[in-house]
Amino acid sequence: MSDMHPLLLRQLARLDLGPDTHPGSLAQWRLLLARVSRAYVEAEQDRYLLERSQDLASAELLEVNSALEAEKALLESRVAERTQWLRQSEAHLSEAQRIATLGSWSFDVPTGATEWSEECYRLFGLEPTGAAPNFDQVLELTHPEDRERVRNAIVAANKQGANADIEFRILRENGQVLWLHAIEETFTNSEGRVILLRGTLHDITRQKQAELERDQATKRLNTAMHGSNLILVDVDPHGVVYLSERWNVLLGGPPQETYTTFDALTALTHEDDRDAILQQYVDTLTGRAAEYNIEHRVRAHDGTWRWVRSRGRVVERDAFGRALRLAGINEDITPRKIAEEKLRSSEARFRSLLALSSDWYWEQDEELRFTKVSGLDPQNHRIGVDQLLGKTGFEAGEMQVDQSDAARHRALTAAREPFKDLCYTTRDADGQWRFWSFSGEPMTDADGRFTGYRGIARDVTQSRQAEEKIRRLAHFDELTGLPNRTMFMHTLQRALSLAQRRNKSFAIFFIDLDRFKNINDSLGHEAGDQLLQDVARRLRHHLRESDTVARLGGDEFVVLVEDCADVRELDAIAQNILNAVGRPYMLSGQEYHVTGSIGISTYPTDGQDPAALLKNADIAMYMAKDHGKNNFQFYSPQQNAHSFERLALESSLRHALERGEFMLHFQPKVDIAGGHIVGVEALLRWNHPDLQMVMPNQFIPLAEETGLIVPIGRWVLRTACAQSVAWQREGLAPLRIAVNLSARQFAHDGLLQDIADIIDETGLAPGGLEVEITESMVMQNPERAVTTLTRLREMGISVSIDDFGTGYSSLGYLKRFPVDNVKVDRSFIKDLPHDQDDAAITRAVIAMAQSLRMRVIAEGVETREQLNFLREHGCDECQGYYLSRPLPAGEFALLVRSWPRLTLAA
Amino acid sequence: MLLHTIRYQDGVGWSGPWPGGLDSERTLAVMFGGGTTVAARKAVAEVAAHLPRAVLMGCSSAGEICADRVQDGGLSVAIARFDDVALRKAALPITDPYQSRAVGQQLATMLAAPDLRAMFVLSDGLRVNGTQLAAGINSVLPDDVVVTGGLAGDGERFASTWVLAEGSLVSDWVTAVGLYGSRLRIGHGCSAGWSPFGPERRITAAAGNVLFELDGKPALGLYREYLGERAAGLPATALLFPLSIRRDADDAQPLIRTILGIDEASQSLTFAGDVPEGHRARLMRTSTDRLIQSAAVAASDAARGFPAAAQPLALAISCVGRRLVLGERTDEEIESVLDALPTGTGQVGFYSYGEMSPAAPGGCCDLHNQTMTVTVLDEWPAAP
Repeated sequence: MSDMHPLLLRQLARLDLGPDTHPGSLAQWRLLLARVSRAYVEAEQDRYLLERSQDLASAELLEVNSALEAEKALLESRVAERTQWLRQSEAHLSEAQRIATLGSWSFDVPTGATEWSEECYRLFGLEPTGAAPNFDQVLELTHPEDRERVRNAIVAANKQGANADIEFRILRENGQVLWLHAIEETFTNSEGRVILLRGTLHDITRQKQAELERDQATKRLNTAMHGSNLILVDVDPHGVVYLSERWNVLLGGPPQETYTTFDALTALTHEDDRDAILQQYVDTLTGRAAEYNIEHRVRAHDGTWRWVRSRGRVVERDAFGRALRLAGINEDITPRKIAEEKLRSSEARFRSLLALSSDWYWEQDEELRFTKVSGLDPQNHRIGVDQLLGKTGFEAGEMQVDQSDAARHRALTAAREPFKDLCYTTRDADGQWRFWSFSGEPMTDADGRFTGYRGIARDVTQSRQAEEKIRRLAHFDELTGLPNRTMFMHTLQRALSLAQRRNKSFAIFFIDLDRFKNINDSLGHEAGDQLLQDVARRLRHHLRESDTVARLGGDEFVVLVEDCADVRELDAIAQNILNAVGRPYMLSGQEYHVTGSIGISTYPTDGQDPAALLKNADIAMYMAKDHGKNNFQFYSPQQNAHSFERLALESSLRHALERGEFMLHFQPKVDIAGGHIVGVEALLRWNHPDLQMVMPNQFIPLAEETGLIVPIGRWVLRTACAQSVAWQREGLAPLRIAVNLSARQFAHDGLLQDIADIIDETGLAPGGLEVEITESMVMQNPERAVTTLTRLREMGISVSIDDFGTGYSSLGYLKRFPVDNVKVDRSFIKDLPHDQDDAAITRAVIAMAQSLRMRVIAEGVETREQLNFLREHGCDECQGYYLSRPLPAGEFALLVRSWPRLTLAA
Repeated sequence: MLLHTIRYQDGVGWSGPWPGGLDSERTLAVMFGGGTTVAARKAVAEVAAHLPRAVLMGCSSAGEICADRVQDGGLSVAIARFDDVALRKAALPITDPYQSRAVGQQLATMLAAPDLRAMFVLSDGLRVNGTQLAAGINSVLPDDVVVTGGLAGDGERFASTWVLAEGSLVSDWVTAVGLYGSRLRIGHGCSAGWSPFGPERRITAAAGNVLFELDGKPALGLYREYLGERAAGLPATALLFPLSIRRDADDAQPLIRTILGIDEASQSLTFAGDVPEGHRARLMRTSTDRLIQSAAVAASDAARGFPAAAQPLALAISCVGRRLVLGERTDEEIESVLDALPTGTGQVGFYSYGEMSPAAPGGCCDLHNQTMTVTVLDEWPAAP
């Protein structure tokens, strides 16, 4: 029993049975039966399905079969149609053969069966009803003179299994002689035995007669033309062209007569000559011209071109005046043509070279007066031939020998020596100088007497100017005309040497524009360039003549102020620069504000060589940026250390996102009247592994500068939205979540798509999202801001103006933008309610915002007094430490759950 | 690796005492519970209390597998404390099946590292498109990372599932644990035990997981025709006749798609996974014996490379559809898996709403229906 199926064994084991133990109880027995029965049922079901699917497959097969049957019937009816069509085409063939006087025949070698087409019978003058004649009978009908030739050709072809092609005469019963052209094909079996002969018979009597007539005529003409270089041309009414034997010589072959067609002859003719020839032929044939007479090229056997002169006329016309025969003479004129062509091409080459170059050709007489000028294009050269002819180079008022070359020129011409690249100058009508390079050589007559000079002159103005420009470019910035870095470093080096010798000091101002990139990005490079030019102009204008202003590249300018030790004076200069740069600019028809940040380093305190001084001024400039831009900073060694820190910070910032070091904290926004939490602001924190928590103001400017803000901003948006959804899922009431957008993010093209994607991904209702932007971001490019804000609103997202009061603070202006909330900056709240100014501003903002139907949110609320003040004046919402500091997500959820509604009650 | 399995039953309590010394940062506790979350929540909280430092993974099921049997409404737990293998958990919420691919990508990105060897995924069973989730994970991870897991179940109710995320039982989340380090020894197997019948046909009209036409004919009509008298039991009997689909004729690894429902009006069939147009489809049938045998095949594939004396953790994830077909013979499937594994194996697992596993060794993770998937893991002995 050990060969029992393992599954049965398993079933038995489950019932505590083995192959050798029978059921101990009825229950056990019934269980066993139940399992066996189940196995049977399953097997039966399985079989049913298999049989069913087989049945279905058979049915489908039958369907396919009957479809094939139908297909077959269709094919058969098509075959019948084809057969009918073939029969008809046979009849058409017979008719065609009759018209072409072309008969076809076949001979089956093994059976001896011969088939002739009707036309074959007709050609031999036999009745088509009779049996086809055999080979011997055909030979009987063949002209006695051709009989042997025909027999030999056919026998040889059949023996060798080759094809035969023969022309012969037959004698009809009525005595008529016909010329036939027979073509025979032989077909062999695999052993090489001929099994089938098949061929055609064509009546060529007419052609043959014409041929014979032509042969005779040619003989006569050749005798006449023999030895002459002329070629006789004869065109018969059929278009057959005869050319006497010299024609073939002309084409590079042996003396031999040529019969050809007009088309073949035309094909030999050079494409450029064809139209003219045809025109002349047509004119001659139609009688418009008495004769044709033309020189043209034909292609010789070796592919070269030969020149032919063709002359001729119509020699025979029919009763209607139609040309029947054309005769003429062709002549080989190639040698003459070659000589002519050589002459022409050398002249043309000279002309085209002159035309291609700016060079012109001149000749002078023995007194060096211009006698000939060619190739001088007054349009390009701005000097007329008339102004030169009859004058010497020294006399021509408009043309002067360059002073430096004058003496050399005089000496060389006096000695009748050639001269090269002497410089002449002229002045254009508009007063511009032009430079000419003259080269010349003396000319002599046949007796060797000096007759004057000839040579070429060239306009070298552009290359002179280019040299000048290259000299400038090496040292000056093309855009602003200011000295460039190279030039500045020279100047700096010189100033340094001077200061060392004289024991003096000097200062370097390193100036960087604060929002240049924004201008460039939003208004385009042209506007950016214009701005840089404006800045350069202002810097030059506002600094002393003795100060050096240079552009190092991009939006970086540098000023070298010599002889200046007094810090107060440097202060004044820096402030002067800030003021000059900070005045508004008109770009693309709009007013823009740009500020600068300045770093100052002084010699000898801050460095002993140009590179160190410049670097330290650069570091000080970065400090100025760190201090909020639009200010200046003197270099100090601590800054240097700071700048390394900054580099390190930048490097770790680059990795922070991928290492998951960012996190969000959340601060509630509380409805002042109701006391409940209505919103939450997501605030970015950087959990730096070494520095621990880094606050946004320490790294956001850096992120802005490096562009990292865009991916970081996207992360903040996504995380905030996902968190909001997660809270709702945890059972928290939905809260509007506010996310700060940075300037760069706001200006980024992909912003709207990013937001749409994130909302889509996280499943947050768009109404649950609010973005906070600052006024200055709106003002940077108001038109674009309107578009972006409108789109956001269409998406259902609300918009808050952050830090209100610190920038333009024009609510009237803001009215033009689709904005929902205004956040009063914390600096106004800080001293409430004691500071009268702040209190007045806050009240005004609240009143105005509400009149514009915007909600007002106070930031930085830290005391009960501040809250009371805000409530009294109808502020809508507030946030700040008094209510809650920003919290991690988990703690925030706890805060919301435990929020005591009445906390805010007065 | 130190391994301990234990189970909890409502009204009975724990199957044994809790041994000490299991908790560590390298401890992975995997648990599968019943659909009613009250008992499960209590048991999970106790596990968490015993293992404050461990990484906890778990989900609801359509039957918890513990050792050689299936139970319902309790909690089946395996605790593996690794010596060397490091663990990292990631979890993300999902609100719409449309996000499945993105969530898969995100999870894989969170866990990706050069020494990542395996990823075990437990996902919400109702709100997730498992095919897209697997595709998202595959798009990030290299081929040599073994990805297995499953979609949580809810008995036969299909109403609400949970996974263990952020320390609590939540719906609509996807969780995953990454296993790192060269000492991880892991094997996987996936087997169905279904046989095709009838001709293979091309899917000519489908949208997502709804099939409209095969070879241009209404899908439901064709399906009925082949089932014959057995079509009378539709839609319930549809479970017994899933479809096998594959990309084209030379796509060697077909996927099985269980039918979730039929629609008379549109003559369509709805499946527990995508049925892309252009794929080839064929009807399948099975018997309880074949299912039981195939489970052993999956297990022996997974145990290949493990010595007989090994004491690995086996995670068996089977399909709720198999359980419905097997009925009272379900235990036999679990038994046959365990029989094919090393004697010292500790087995837990669950009946799922979708199994995630490569179809063949070295392949990419895919979503399956109607399969038994087995993942076996332990640590290579430490180098002396």
